[in-house]
Amino acid sequence: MIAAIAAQSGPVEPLIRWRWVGHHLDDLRERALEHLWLTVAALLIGVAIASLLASVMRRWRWTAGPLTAATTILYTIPSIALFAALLPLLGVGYAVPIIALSTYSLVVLTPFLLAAFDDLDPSTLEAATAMGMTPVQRWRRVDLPLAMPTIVAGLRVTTVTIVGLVTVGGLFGLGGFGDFIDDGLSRDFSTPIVLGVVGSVVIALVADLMWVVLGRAVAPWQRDRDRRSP
Amino acid sequence: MSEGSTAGTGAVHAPGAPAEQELHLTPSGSPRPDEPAVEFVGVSKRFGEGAGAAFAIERLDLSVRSGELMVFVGPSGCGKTTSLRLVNRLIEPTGGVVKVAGRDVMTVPPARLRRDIGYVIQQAGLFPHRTIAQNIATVPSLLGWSRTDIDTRVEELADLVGLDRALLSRRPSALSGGQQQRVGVARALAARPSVLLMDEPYSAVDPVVRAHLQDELLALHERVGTTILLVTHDIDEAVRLGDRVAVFTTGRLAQVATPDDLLAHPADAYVEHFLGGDRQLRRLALRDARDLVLGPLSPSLDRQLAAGTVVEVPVEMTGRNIVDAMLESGRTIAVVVDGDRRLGTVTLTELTDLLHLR
Repeated sequence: MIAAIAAQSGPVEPLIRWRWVGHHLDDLRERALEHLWLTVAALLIGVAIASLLASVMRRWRWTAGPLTAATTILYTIPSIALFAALLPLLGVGYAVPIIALSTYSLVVLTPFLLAAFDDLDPSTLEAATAMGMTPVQRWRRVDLPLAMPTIVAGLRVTTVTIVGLVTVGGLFGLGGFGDFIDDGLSRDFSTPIVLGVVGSVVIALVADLMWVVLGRAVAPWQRDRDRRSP
Repeated sequence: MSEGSTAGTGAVHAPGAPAEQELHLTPSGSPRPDEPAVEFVGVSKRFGEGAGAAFAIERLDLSVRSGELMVFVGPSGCGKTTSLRLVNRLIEPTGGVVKVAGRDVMTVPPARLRRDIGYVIQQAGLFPHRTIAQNIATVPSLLGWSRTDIDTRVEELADLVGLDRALLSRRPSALSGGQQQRVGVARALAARPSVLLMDEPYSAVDPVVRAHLQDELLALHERVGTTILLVTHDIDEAVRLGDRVAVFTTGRLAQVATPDDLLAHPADAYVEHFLGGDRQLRRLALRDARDLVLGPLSPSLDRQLAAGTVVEVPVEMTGRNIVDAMLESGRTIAVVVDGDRRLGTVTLTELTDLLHLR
């Protein structure tokens, strides 16, 4: 393939053909939305399952080992292999990327959720119980707000991971900016490849920034630490 | 401290605790005034099952009077903290009955029970995500007080524990250890509990701050009259703070007595060893010059003072300080003065007699 490109005579192919981009704005918008909604859907499903897993692990401690091992094994499956394996089972459609992406997201997210609640200061929690909070009140007023910074950190890593993996799914024509890359690779055309890569990175950066801002918003007390009074 | 240090009389607190100190737990009517605020009746706590089981507490019997400041003291693992936590059901007994305001704690739903029992722990255990005001308002807000009632109460408590009101809008991390401990006390007292439990409240603060906080606690206790159960491993703290002191040894009580009684008559070798040395001097340290019965001022006093045959001591001094001043000056007569005013005289013999009068 490289030899073929090198052998080409005539005008050198530019990295980006802006005219092509101009003609594919609709396509670009569609892929971007697809990329976004695949990410959000996989994240939501991942959060739901990871919450369930983390709760089970915290409730029945002995399950933590086996469950962690199981999710880690899932994570060792290369993403391309997982997409390829699911395709014949589920056919072309959104089911394959969403299942694959949620699987990876829960592997990343579950340890964060577990740590978020395990690392809370036991004396703070005991004080809350001793003040007369019921278990539900304590969870809402103390456990959850104090766990939020770690939860948000987990969501941040998970989101960025998913955004990147959506692109891999695109290689199989499963949506998002990966479709552009797939298209570009299949005909040695750099413009859609660049478009796909840049688009994917921009979404990842924007999502990351969003979580940073949100993380500050849910933990205003963590900024007080530097302003200690004598 | 005043009442806690009076000689061997049991140091019952003066009646007249403010009306706000009602015992909320009592099912109907008002509690009998002589009813113990907290009572342990044959209480046992065993951890584990079968052969591996170990008693943390075995058949504990103890009554804490209403308004009393009772200190549980003993080495680690003696069951003092376990006993304290039985009161608000953070731990449940395996035998016997724990009563608060006459009611078996096991018959009261835990959340309701605990809202009527203040709890202060070592490092204050404040909620880092909430402001100081919100921390103090924890129990009132659980009890559904109105916004205005809560705000009023929070400011009242800030003043009570000596906390600058400007700090109310800050978060705990902005406060020093001593300030956090004050907030912990304010939070525990917010809803006017029947009983205040304090688990090693001062062991995480430095000695200077600790002494200050101890003085504040005594003043506070005098003012609000709440029954207090305080756990410490520090015998000096116990003797300094307690109206009565309960000395624990593994799982049982070695002695329950006023600080003076404890120092004067340790029940056994274990208590004696735990108390350590200088017991008589420490008894004198429990008395202010104010509490001493002073002798008359003789007309020749000016001459004696000028000649240096007597020593002048301020009225803020304890009996122990006076003895020290006598030892330092080589005189055995001291004149107690309050500013410019001379109050009377005290002799070394009188101080010695004081320790032997029953």
